[in-house]
Amino acid sequence: MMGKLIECQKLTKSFARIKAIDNVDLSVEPGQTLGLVGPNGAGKTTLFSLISGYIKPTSGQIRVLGHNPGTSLIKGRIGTLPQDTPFLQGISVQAQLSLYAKLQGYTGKAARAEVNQVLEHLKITDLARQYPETLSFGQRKRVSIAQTLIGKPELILLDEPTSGLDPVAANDVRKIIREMGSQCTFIISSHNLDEIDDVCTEVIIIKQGKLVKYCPISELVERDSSLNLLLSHSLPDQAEKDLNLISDIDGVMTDPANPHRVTISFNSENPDQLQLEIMSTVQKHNVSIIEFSRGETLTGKVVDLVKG
Amino acid sequence: MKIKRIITLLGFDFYHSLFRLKGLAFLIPFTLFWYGTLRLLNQGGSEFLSSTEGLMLITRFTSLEVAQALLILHPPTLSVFLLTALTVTPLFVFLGANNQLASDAATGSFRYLLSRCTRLEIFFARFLSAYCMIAIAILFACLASTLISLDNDNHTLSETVAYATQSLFVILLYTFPYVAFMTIMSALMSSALGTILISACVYIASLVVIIYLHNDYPAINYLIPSAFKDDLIGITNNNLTVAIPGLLAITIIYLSLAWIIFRRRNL
Repeated sequence: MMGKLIECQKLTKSFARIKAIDNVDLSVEPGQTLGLVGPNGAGKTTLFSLISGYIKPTSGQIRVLGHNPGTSLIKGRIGTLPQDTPFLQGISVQAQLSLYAKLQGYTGKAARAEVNQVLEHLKITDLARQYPETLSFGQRKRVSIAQTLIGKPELILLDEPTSGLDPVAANDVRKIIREMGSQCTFIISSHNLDEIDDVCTEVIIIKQGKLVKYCPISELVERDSSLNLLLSHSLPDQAEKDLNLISDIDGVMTDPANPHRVTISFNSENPDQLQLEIMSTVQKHNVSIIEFSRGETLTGKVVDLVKG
Repeated sequence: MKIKRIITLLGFDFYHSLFRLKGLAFLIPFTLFWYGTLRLLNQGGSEFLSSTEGLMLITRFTSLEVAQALLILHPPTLSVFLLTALTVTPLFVFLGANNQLASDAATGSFRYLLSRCTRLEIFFARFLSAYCMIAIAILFACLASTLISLDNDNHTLSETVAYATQSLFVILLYTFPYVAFMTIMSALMSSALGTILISACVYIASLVVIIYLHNDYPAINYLIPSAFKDDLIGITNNNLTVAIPGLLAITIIYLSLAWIIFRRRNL
């Protein structure tokens, strides 16, 4: 049986006097798709860089796949997508990716075949002969993602994998993550919490360098205890009163930033029936429901956690 | 550390350096310089150097005994090649080995490599790649000098080839610590140009310090590889037994310093 995927003990990384990662203890099991989230400056990229071995801890310990991230033993077993990192200029995509494949143990022909397969998977075979400096941001991003998949690594770290991609390409990337999620472990650092909610099973939340929460998303977000509505108008006071009269409803909360957005929390043994009752009560007051979703959102939960 | 990964990295870096600014900034001036110098030698330069006037000229740079050994006992064309190559080594190494680590560490390109190989493998591959490029360029210059020497000097083929081999070995040995010196600077800096500038400043500052202090502290001469230059020009086995370990020791010290810096650098 495989041991821990990542183990951090009192991990600290300081830049001058600023502690970017502060005394973090973390133990990650393999076989999950993890989201790494937190506000700007929380230390996501620093933690990501420590796991990848780009930077060394100031104090504490980190072990990835049972070894120090700098050791030769784990090289080729991890794929990393660093944020906004350029490829070498003047050298074709195919040549650079072939080098990476060779470093992972493939020989000449096998390296080219592996690169072609990965490029095909991402639908970017047409970029193989091009130079990185001639590619658009989105194309470079997809090439960067391609290099993480070379050699089928056990752990893939993706820093903002879909930022800058068009919706179709972003969807393709999410599809690949879902497909490969059963074969390897992904750690995805992203500000797009809907994306994390969509593709990840667990989430690590950090704030000011400290670990706030690490748990399954299903444990963090209650799917059957609330209803989120986007309304055509603000909810009238009478409608709110009527909703509060329904026995299983715990509360009605209007989003202060957008009065058209309302979250109704409840505790019911028959949430489907209650949902219908809520919707008909709202519509009775001539308010149309433009959009609705059941359950708490990861975004709301993360915002609550990092604010608190 | 895996040798296979170092060889893969070395081959890639070496091959692509030849077609990029990194390599061309060295190869073009190097080729132009040696083309000009060897052309002069081929047009009667060696004949002049074998004469009394030539001997007098060379004694300005070295002793009469060494000058006689270089221009009379050995083929003068190759001796001039050796003296010139040793003199210009720092300059060409500054041009050829300045971007071993600096740019890629600053832009983050090493991050793609770091998930596939260790820092030590990258470090050695880049050092050896820069050294190989300079060494191969010197080899070609030496081959051209040997052909000119065979055509112009009055020495046998075996004498000329033996002396050419010895000269090549000496120049390549002398180049080693300079490339290692550039590894230190490249591990510290974030651009090729910055590395060249800081290297030149540090090297000149070292020379000035040595000039001022070498009478009181003779050991200070050995801070830089040029302390062994006279031993190399002398080209006797006695001198080389001092120069070889000396230059290798300086190389190891320089490389160790460079590794200490690069090992801790945030990539």
